[in-house]
Amino acid sequence: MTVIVQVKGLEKVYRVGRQKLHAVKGIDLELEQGDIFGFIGPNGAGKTTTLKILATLLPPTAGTALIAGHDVVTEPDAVREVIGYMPDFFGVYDDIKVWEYLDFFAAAYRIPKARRTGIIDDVLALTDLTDKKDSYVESLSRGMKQRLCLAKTLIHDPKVLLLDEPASGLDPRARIELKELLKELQAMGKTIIVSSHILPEMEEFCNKIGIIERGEMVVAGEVQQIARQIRGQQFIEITIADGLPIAEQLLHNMPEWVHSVQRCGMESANGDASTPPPQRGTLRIGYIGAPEGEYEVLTALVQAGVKVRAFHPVKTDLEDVFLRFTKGQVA
Amino acid sequence: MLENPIFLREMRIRLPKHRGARIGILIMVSVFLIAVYLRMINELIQRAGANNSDADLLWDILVWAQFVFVLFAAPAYASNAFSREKEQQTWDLLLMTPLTASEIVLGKLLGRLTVFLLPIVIILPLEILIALVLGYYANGMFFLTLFTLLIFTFFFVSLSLYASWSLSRTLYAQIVSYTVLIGVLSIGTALLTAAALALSNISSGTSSSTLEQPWLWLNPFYLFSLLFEQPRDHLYQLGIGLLIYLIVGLLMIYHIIYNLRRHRE
Repeated sequence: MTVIVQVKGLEKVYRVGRQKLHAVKGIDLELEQGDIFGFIGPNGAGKTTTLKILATLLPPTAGTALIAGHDVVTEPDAVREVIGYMPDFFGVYDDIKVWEYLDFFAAAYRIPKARRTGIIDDVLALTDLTDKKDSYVESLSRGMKQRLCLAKTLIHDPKVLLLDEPASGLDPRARIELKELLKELQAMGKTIIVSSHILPEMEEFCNKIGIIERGEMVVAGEVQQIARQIRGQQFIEITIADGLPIAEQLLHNMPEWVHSVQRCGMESANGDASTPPPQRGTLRIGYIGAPEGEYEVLTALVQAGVKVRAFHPVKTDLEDVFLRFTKGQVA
Repeated sequence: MLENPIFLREMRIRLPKHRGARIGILIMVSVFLIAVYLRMINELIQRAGANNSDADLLWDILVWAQFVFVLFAAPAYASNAFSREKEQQTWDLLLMTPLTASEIVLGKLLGRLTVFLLPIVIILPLEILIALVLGYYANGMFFLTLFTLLIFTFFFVSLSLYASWSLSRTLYAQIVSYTVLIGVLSIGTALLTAAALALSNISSGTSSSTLEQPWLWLNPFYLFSLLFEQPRDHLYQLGIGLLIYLIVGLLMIYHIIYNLRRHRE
């Protein structure tokens, strides 16, 4: 895959009186085309500053950032051509209609007049605002304005989208709609960097995350890799139709792969010797081997005569990851 | 410039929203102007050659009204050009577009100027008629007056734009614009002139001419009044004053473009 965003040692220092404030401290990041990167961090951690640097709106103090091969400092115009930036707080021009608003930005992006109508119709359809084409911008709800801003961001068909807290202030329905829209954009092959505090929703569509605190990227990578990093193990749930005791015994005898075995989703043995142990149920194992070794565990169970109905890794909650890596400190 | 999206948006926002309303206003203004013009032509033809004092008075009223309108309306109208973008958080969105600094600034400038030039253009046919009666074409007064109005409009709008660029709030930009235009240039220079004259009189014991005071050459009211002076012996002061205003206005616009370009690079 093509590397489309490459950030190395990015720093931003503000001078407040005689003091220096390190808003961003040596951030490294590499994203491939089609990645959806969730940028997570407490308020004031440096997310917006980083996004503004990538959007060419702020010069970095040190480090480099390349987007589609263009340097954000030395080639800002080329970068602006390939990115779409949606700030955390944004306004829309009042006194103009939705299509006029988009037409203005289409003209600003030098899209020929003959092509503008078609493009405006396309982005309106994508953001589900076709019905509002002739409405005045000020009459739109917050969620619609958010979608309109996203439509504006898409008007020049950018390769990379920088979305700063796009879901903030939206009601649950609007958030769901936004999530669906981001999934559609992902399907279109856009690379998206999205910052948000709504972690469970990000978990659904981000394939990579980065956690930033006090200006430092404390962790970045694929969600499950990071989860494994936290716990040193991956949890796997195994639903057994028959042969639960055999499975338990077998798993306990695999210390090179299995760290712990727990019963879940059923009553555990109550210690009464007259009660026969249950033959079916679900086990949660702490797996510490390599990812390809999971198959070996499953094969061993099947070969031992255990009837396995389901075998799947447990996804780690992004909130767990966030809480594990952050201390609630700002830059 | 007609393709400049900033200019087109400024025009779109400033004009009435509904097409019906636009046409209605256009028809009403046209009917009113035609009626006024017909009446004026009739009056002027009757009086031409006999007594020009009415035409002269009307000329003075129209021209002064335009000047005062621009002076007082420019800060109110043009001081939000940049600060409003920042207030309503559209500035970053604008900076992200490939529009150049010159396109953004000149689009704003021409958008605002056009609105001020519209009343001048509407009244222009009437002024042409009066100038014909008064013979202002022959002595160049018509064009000098028009040129003076244009330079002042440019300066007032440029100053308001500069205040809007320099300050983050529209209210502050308006206050600064009014303070400079009314407080400093209109009242301040008059007070300085009075003070300088008083000091000069006290020290020399003789009275010196008001017209010798260079502070007054910056006073827009004084400069504009030179257009109506008879005989027109001090028009050179108007020329110098207008040149200063033009250069300062151009410098302010250039400074905004330069800073915006640096900011975006």
